[in-house]
Amino acid sequence: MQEGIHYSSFRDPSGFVFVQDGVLCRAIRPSYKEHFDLLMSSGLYAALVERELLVPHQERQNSDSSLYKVIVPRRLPFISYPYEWSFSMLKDAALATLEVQKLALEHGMSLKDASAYNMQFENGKPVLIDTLSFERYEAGKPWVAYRQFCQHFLAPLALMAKKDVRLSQILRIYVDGVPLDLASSLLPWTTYVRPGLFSHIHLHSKSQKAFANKRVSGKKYTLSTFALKSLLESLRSTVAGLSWQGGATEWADYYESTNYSALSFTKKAEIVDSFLEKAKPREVWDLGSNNGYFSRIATKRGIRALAFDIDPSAVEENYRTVRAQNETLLLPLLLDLTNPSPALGWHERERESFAARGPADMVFALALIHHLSISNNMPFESVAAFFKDIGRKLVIEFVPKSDSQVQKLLSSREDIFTEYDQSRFEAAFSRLFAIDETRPVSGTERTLYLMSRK
Amino acid sequence: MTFRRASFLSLFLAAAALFAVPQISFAYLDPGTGSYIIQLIIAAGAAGAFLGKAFFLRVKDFFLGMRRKKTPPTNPPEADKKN
Repeated sequence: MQEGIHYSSFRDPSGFVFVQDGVLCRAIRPSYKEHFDLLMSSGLYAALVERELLVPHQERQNSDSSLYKVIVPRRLPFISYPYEWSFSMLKDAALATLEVQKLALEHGMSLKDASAYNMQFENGKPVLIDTLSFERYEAGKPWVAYRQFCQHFLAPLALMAKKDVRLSQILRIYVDGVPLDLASSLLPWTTYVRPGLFSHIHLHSKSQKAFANKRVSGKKYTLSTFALKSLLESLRSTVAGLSWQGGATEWADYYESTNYSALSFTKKAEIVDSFLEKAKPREVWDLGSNNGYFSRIATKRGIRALAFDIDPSAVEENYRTVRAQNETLLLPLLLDLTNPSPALGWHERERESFAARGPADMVFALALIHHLSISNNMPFESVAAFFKDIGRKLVIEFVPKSDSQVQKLLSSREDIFTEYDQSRFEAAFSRLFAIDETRPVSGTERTLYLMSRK
Repeated sequence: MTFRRASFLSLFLAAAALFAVPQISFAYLDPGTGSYIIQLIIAAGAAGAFLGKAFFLRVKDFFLGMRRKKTPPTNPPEADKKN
């Protein structure tokens, strides 16, 4: 991580995030003193940390008199973004945000923002990372982050559940959440008869339009604490009522319908495990992870794994398994490798690109090369260069043309891939990687490689 | 107050709330005027619904309680058995 003030840390004047001597710190400005002190003294901080809803921090000696305090929050191993989450991940993050707000109110505070980017996944669960998101609750004051919550969480969740799960990608375009008029126009008419969606999205959007550019008068209208809690409960039940069953996953029967017999599959798992034993990576990025079977070979060894897949159903299934089994080392994420998450936001520096969050200690590219080189026409040289950028070690599986999966890809198109063979694959990768080990997978025509980038 | 007059009054109040503009205090996040106003209305509606639900449950419990009192339990409670 680069030294200095973090690029995304400019919206909230309460403080900023910076990196000093490799340590991630959060500076607190004097203007936020009252709120920070209340967070700590009211018992809210302790309650949130106990419930694993807020990252804990430690205070650091502060020599800068223009700052009130400097804290060092526990650093997360990987920052992911809402457009990389599955439906249930975004839903859990939304429910966690409401839970945080409920606890805050019980301690005389309130969330002053409800950005989905303030939530991150740690140990398989959503956690708030912005310690400065709280302000003293003034009785009668409506929730300032209501609109943001609807845009960052409710609208994308409703679109995913009621229209199409792929609409989560709208969050890539709108950095401050889905505009409610857009969500309202995209949602089916059936959502008008659901009280929660009707009021928080459709009516909300109409109200925004009706009062656009209206002057603010000095007249004061208040919202009782009971009404505010009722609003939060209404949001909670609306979010909780949204569900997505997950379509038939593109890869659901992949492991059953491949060339693998049960024995070959076990052999492949053993080889991957032996590569882990040899290379001892701290973390693995499993690209094209499907349900995370091979990622779990790493996590069983205590190695943190990110399981990326292009299929929302696969990521959803994987996340549900993580939750059901209370897995702490695995993070499933949605990613199209041929169009990975770009750098986004102001100055293209607010949200980091996929590659900028690397390099990983080790990359898994199992049963992936044919999808890149044949389905997407990527030359081996280009694939090798990409893998070199994102990882130090590489476990890659070569799938020959004779393999039924490759034949399936070629069945509907002309075979223009005269260069697709194992010797050219090895030659292309050898330019950028040292091949440490080559292991054929017995019972198949496939080969597994362990490589280190040069 | 007749039911008709009560309905008219609540409609009038809802309409008045739609055109009311609240004071927006300083915050780094712009809450949006429309979002503020609709929040007040939805919150009032949600609070009313919760109160109504709670009231309905109490009424239901009251009548169910009366019915329970009228029909003695088939099995006496454990404490009674011991005595």
